[in-house]
Amino acid sequence: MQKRLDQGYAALERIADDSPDLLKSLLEGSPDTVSVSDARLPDLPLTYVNPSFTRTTGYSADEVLGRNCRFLQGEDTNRGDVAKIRKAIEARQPVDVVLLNYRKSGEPFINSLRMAPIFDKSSQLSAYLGIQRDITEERLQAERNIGQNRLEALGTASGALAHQLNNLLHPVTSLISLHLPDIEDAGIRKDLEMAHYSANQAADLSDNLLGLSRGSFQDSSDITTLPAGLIRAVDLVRLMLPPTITIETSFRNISGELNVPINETLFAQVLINIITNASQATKHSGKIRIEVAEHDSSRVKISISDNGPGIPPSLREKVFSPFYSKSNSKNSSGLGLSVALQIINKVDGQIIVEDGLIQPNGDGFGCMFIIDIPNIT
Amino acid sequence: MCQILLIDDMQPVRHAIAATLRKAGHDVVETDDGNKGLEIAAKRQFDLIITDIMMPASDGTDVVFALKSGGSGPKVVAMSGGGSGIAAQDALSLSASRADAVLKKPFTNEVLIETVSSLTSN
Ligand SMILES: Cc1cc2nc3c(=O)[nH]c(=O)nc-3n(C[C@H](O)[C@H](O)[C@H](O)COP(=O)(O)O)c2cc1C
Repeated sequence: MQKRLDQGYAALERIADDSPDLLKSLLEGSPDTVSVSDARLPDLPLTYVNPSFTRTTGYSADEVLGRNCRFLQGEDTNRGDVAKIRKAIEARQPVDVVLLNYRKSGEPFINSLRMAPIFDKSSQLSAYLGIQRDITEERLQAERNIGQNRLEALGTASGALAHQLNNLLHPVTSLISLHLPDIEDAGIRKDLEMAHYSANQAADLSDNLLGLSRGSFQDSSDITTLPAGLIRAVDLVRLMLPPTITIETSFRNISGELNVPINETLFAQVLINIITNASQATKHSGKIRIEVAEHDSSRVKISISDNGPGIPPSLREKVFSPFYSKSNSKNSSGLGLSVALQIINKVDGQIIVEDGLIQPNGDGFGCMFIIDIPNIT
Repeated sequence: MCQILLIDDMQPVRHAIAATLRKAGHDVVETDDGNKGLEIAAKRQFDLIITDIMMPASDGTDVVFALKSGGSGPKVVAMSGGGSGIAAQDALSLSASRADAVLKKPFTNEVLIETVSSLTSN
């Protein structure tokens, strides 16, 4: 250990002798961010940040030197993550933490921070080194892939299930209707008609399942047809949410089929994320209304309104921040709405937040998400 | 009245279809496997063969192709359903390109009877 250390130091000393500026250039030119705090001063003030740090965070060196790096944290930064860093510092241990930070502009980003105490040659703690990586894009991409894989798996599974159900239901409906005319007792006939009706309902449900699997979530076409694609996504969401939530759809405001330039799996993912969010907002017991409107010949608006507690106008931008909604739900990734916005932005669309349906007590309004995307019909 | 060969590996389904056909006055021979079906069809004359296209033991699509490759054979109806995790739609459209009619489960007795009579009327 000591030998390796010595070798390392010797090599660096040679570099320092041969080309005195190279070590500085390495730090300045590093594609990874480098930040250094003085371990001997109270509250670990930053003594160096490299240009990559400035690019990632938006803060220039003179704005940050002398300050503790916690200025990157903000309202939705998880306090547990911060405590992890604090404990590591207290224990003089290195730590890897992924936490929500904010750029100077206020834009949140997911920071994968590696921090380590740096000991000098005589084992004295002299500095802390922080290496930050903005992994927002990676995380959103991963979330999109997970969503897509889930949908595809669901499509395959529901197709298999539907076929088995259809095979089981066929004899039920067929045999009842075959023998029903021969039953003379009106009471028995009525009972059998009821059984027949139920079996038909089950067959309809099974057909819905089949609709989900019918290649729609596996295709690679970059076009979704409305309202069919929307109906499929809503059928799917209904299966994913508790039956206590009411979901209504209305396509009165469109003249016929509309095409939007988005892959149906991604489109379904956007809807699922927004509708799930709306359902959570109403504690799964409210109402969600989905409408499609042909804004003009070039745009389509899909609105998803709920009658939950609503979002005050000042916070409406923020709901799309990564992890914003995480506190609301244990089992959500906190990235649902961020992913939805990103997918829609990619196809030249936007998502607008407005007042939604009137609340059950009549006091205020829930929330409405409007997806505004190009119409390529 | 027609001579009908019915191939489906799911006994309850086969029973229901056969009962419906018999009640409508047709003669029905049942079998649960595509290869057995082809053997029976080779020995006897049928007006119509109804086969499921997804059975674990033998692929119904093969049955449809085998029956329709010989030119003037019996009429063939392909049924979808059964199987698990298979792209039913693909298999069905493959068979549909050769079969004389296609029935998607669950279908009503009326649809079954209509399909049979329209194929065997002349
Ligand atoms: C060198 C160094 C780099 C740091 N980089 C970050 C960072 O990028 N993001 C962050 O949220 N915290 C960062 N921290 C952690 C905070 O500065 C601070 O130590 C943490 O918030 C725990 O202390 P506190 O609970 O007193 O705030 C860094 C700390 C050090 C020493």
